[in-house]
Amino acid sequence: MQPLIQLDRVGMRYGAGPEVLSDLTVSIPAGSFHFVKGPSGAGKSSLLRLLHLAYRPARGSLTLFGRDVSALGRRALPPLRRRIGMVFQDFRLIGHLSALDNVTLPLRLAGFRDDQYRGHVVELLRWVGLGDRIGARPAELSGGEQQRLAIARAVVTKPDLLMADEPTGNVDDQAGARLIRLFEELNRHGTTVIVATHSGALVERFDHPVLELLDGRLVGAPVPAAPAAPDADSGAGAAA
Amino acid sequence: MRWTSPQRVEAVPLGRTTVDRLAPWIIVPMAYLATLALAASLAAADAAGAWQAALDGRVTVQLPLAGGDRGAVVDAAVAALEALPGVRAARALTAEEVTRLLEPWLGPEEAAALAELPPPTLIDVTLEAGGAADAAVLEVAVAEAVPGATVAEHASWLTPVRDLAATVRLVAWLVLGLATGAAAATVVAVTSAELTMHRGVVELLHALGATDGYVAGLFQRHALVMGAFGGAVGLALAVATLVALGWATGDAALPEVGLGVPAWLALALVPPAAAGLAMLTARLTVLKVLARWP
Repeated sequence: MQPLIQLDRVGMRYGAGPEVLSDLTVSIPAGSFHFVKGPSGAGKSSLLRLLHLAYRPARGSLTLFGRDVSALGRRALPPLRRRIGMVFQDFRLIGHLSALDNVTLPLRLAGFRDDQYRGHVVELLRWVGLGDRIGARPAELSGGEQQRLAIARAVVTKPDLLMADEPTGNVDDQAGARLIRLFEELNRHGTTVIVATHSGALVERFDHPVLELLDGRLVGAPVPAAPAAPDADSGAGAAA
Repeated sequence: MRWTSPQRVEAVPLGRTTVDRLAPWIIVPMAYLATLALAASLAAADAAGAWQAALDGRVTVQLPLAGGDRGAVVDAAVAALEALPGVRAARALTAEEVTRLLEPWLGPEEAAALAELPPPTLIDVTLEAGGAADAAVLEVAVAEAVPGATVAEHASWLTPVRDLAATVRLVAWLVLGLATGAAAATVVAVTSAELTMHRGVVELLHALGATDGYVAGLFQRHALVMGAFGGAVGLALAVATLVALGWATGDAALPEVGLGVPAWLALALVPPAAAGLAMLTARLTVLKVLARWP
C-alpha cells in the first residue's frame, strides 16, 4: 500500500537560514494517527508547515498523496492543500468573519455554493458545541470555543489528512484528552491524523505511534504500529 | 441565527484602513487630468478637422480698395476667375458677410463700426479637387483683370494652425499618459501595501487551498471599485470644468473649438477605463508579489 506521506532524507530551511529539519526519513500510511513529539524548537511546527505545503524541502523528497511535491509549481499546490485540514497553534481565525463564515471559508475556496454546504456547516458547528455561537466573531468566543471553531474549519472539507499543532497547549488535561478523542473519532472515519505536541504525558495516555523530534532530527526507536484504519493495511506503521 | 452571505463578506478586509479609504480620492485628480487632456485632444482634433474640411480647396481673392465702379471691378475679377479651368465657383462676399467674419474677432460693435468704412472686397473661390488651378495661377489671372488683386491661399495659414492642433494633441496625450501612469502607480502602491498589511490572512487563504488567482480576484474587485469611483468623480469634475470653460469663453474666442457627441461619449469611457486599469494593475501586482512568496 502506498503511504499517504513519504519523506526521504528531507531537509528544510527558512530562506537562506540554517536547516531547521535535517535528514527526515519517514513513511506515514493512510488512516494512521501519529503524534509528533519534541521540546520547543525541535522542529514540530516546521514539520507540519512542510507537510502542509507552506514550505518546500530544501533537499530530499517529499511525497504526499502519491505525488512528489518537492518541486511542484505553485499552481499545483492548492488542490493538494484542500485535502489537508490544519489546526494552527494560534488558531488563525479571521477576526471580522463570523464563526459560520470562518468555517465555510474552505468550502468557498473549494468552489461550493452556500446552498450546498449551509446545512452541513451548521451541523458541524453543533457537533463541536458551537451551535448557538454561529454568528459570533472570534473575539467574542472563549479560547476553548476558538479552538473548536478552528477544528471545525479544519475538518469541514472532510480532509484526507488532518494536522494539529499543539492543540492542547492552552487547555487543561481533561479538555486536551477530549480533543484527542475527537481527533480519534475523525481518524476512525478514515482521516489520517498528525498531532504535534510537547506534552509527553498526553502522548503516553494514548496508544498511537510517535515521531520524536530533537534539534530538527527524528530520534529514537521505530515508533509503534499504527492502529488499523478502514482503508489501511492491518499492522501498517511508520518507520523512521 | 445570522447567516452572512459569502458574497457580502470577503475574507480579506480591504477598504478599512486609511490608505484604503484615501486611495480612491488619489485617483480622482488623475482621472480629472486625464479627462481634461482627452477633451483637449479630441477638441483639437475636431477643430483641425473642421478647419481642414471647411477650407480645403478654398481660396480667397482680395481686391484693392480703389475708387470707380466697384461692381464692374468685382464682375471682371469673378469672370476672370471662373474662366480658369479647375475653378468650380467664384463668389464675391457681401458687406454683411465680411462684417460677420470680423465679429468673432472684433466684437459686434466694433465690426459694425467698421462696416461704415469701405469694406475689403473679398471673393471666395472654390477649386475643383485635383484641378489644375492653384493660388499662383489664380493670382496671375486675377491680376490681369484687376491689377493689385491678391490671393490668400488658406493652406498657407492652415498649416501652422494644424501644427498647433497637433502639438496640443501631443501634449494632451502626454498628460493623459502621465495621469494613467500615476494612477497605475498608485494602485500598485496601495495594493502592495494592502497585501503586506493582510499577509497573515492571505497566507491563511493559501493554507486553506486558495489559488493565487482567487486572492488576486479579491484585490482586483476592490481596485475596480476604487478606479470606478475615482474615474466617475474625476469625470464629473472635469465635465463641470469644461462646461464652466465653455460658458466663460462663449463661442466668440474659438468658434470652431468644441466637443461633439462622439467626444463626449469618449469622455464617458473614463470611469470604466479607470476601473479596468485599476483592476488589471491590482491583479498583476498581486500575482507578481505572490509569485515571490514560498
